[in-house]
Formats: sequence, C-alpha cells, structure tokens
Amino acid sequence: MLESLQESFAAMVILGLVTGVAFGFTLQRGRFCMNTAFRDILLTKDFTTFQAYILALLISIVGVNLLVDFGLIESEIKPFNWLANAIGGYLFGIGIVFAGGCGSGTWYRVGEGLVGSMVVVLGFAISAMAASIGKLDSIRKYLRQEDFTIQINDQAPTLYGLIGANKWIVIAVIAAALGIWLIRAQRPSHQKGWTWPVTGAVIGLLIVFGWWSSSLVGKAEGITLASTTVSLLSYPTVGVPKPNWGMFMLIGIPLGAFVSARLLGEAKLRGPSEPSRYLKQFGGGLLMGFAAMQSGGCNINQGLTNLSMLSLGSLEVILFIILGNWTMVWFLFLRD
Amino acid sequence: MLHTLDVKGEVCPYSTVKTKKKMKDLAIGDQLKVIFDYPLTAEEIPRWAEKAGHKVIEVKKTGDAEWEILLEKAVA
Repeated sequence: MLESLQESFAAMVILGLVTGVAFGFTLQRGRFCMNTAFRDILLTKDFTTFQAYILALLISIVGVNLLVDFGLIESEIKPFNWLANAIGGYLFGIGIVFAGGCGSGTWYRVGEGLVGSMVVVLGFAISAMAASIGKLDSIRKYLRQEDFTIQINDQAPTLYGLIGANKWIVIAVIAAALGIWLIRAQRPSHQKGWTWPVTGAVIGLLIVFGWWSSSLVGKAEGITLASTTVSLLSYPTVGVPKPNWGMFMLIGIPLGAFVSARLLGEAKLRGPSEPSRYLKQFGGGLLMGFAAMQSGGCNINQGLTNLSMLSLGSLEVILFIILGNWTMVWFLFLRD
Repeated sequence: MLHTLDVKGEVCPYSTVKTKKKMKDLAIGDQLKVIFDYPLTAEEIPRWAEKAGHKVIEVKKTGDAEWEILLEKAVA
C-alpha cells in the first residue's frame, strides 16, 4: 500500500496540505516566530518564545532519530558549508528584523492578514529564486564549493560524530541539559495564545510528522519554507519544479493560520501606516530569500527540521541567525 | 492624566518600543491607553510593563483584531 502512495498525486496534495494547515494553525496559536524568540532575549529579557523553540527542538531530535532508527526515513545530514552557512545565517538574522518575522513567522502572519508580511513573501520569493535558479546562482555555488566545506571521514559532520559518541548518549545529554533548563523556566504572564509548552510540543511533533508524511509521497524532506517559497513562484512563471509535497505544505500554512486567527477573532487585512515600512519589509524579504539560499535553508529547515538530525552545519546556521538578529536588534532598538 | 497611543498597523517590536518611549515622557501616576491590532502585542506590552515596574490595569479585546491596554506609570 505504501508503494502505491508514492505514485498518488492526491495523496501528495492531501498529506502536504494537512501538514501545512496543522503547522500554520499551530504557528498562529503559539505566535511561533524565531525573530520574536531571539529578539526578546535581548530586547525584553523574555525567554517565552525561545523556550517553545528549545522544546520543539528537543522533541523533534528524539522523534526524527526514532524515525531514522526504525527505518521509516533515511538520515540526511546537511553539508557543513562553513562559509556559506555563516554568511547566509548572519544575513538571514539581519533580514528577519527588517521583515518583522522569520520564515515561519512571516508565513503565518500572511494568514492573519498582515499585508506587510505578504510583501516580505514577495521579496523573499524573488531573491531566493534569483539566488537558486537565476543569475545570482553563481554566488551560492562559489560559497558552497568544496574548499569551504568541512567533512569528517568523508561525511557531513554531526554533533555525535564530532564527539565520537553514540548518537543516543549525545541526545540524552542534550535532553537532560535543556530539559532541566526548561523545567526551571517560568510560566509567562498575560498569555493569550497557547502557552510555550503546548506550542513547543506541537511544533516538535509536526516537524517529526513532516519528515514522515513527506517520505510517504516522495523524497523525505520535512518542513522547509525557503526552497518551497521559490517553487511557488518558479512553478507558475518558469514551469519548475514539478508540483511536490512541500509546495502544498507551504500553501497549507497561511490557510491553517487564517483558520486559527479567524476563530480567535484575530484575522483582518491590516498593515503599517507609514509607506516606508513596506519598503523596509520588502528589503528584509529580499535579504532573507538571498541569505536562505546561501545557508541551505531558513530557520525552520535548518533550525528544526535538519538540526533534529544533529547536523553541525544546521547548528552553525541557527547560531549565526541569532547573531545577525542580535546585531540588528541592538543597532535598531538598543543603541542609545 | 490619561494619554493615548495608537500603534495600529505596527508589529512587534515596534508597538512595544513606541510604548516604552511614550511611557518615558509621562509623569508618575499618569495612565497610557495603547490601541493596537497585532495579537502578540497583547502579551508583550503587559509583560514588559510588569517587568519595568508599571501597573497593568487592563488588557481588553475591543473588536476583530483590535485590542486596548491601559497602563499606569509607577516608576520613573
């Protein structure tokens, strides 16, 4: 039965949409945005959204590695393109401050009706397409060449490979350390959406579900928002790639977010009153799209979907996204 | 004295940053009503205000994607 699913277009559409709608619904309920998560640590010393991210990461690490060990998906480690990851991650972190949202934050706010976020998506799609299948592709090829790529024993390095320990021992240590930090974390006040434990748990489970559901109808790729954004622009304009699970997953995200926002009475078309803000957000989107193509993925793809495989390259990207974010937050909001 | 700040259309952190700035200009005991349409702001402003030592008098949803927060300046 599973073999026939691979050939079924309808199964691909349905599994993609279901994953995306559930993910979008959750993003909106939990206000899950890594720009918020990283920024608030610095700006308001608030760790609420960051705690949701760490919990989601923990759950996806355990779940995805179980999928791998049970043979349901293959382990796929992102390459350690140290130069491209650093530059792409840092620029992406800067971009999300101007855009007012990360990859996931931007897509769920489209569903809430924020016109500024729709502008971000446009900028993102255009520059990411230029940087991946257009004229700017040479930059990515240069930055991601072998000279700037580190391998350990001819393989992309992982956290456990680096230490030379058993995968599950490394996972246990990470889980213990981060788990203790999370248990001691405070319950936030004034919560209107889901609390961080609920948001983090559901996001983590959906990252695992994304890996599994994409594997049923094509190549296992998990939830990813950058390359799929390119596809939604490149398919109608230049006819590539063939429709895939990821494209329908992405369409599902704003739909799910809209349903969630509508039920909460939080959906309405709205945007900043200063016209310059749209330009700023468009610029942020351009920067994000370009950067994500250098770093091999956005904050969801690298920060959750692939970091859950414990790949060192993904860890580097997310650390540089945080650095870029903090640099710009300091520059724009904290300098004086 | 009651002051009003309308940050409709603004997302975080702009809504919170503008509120912070406005609160600075107020005298102790003054109240500030912040009007906004971004869901996360309903969580971020009160959290910031409490941490900063101000009083959060009310957080109210006033319509479809519209909220009001009433703050009272308690520290300089």
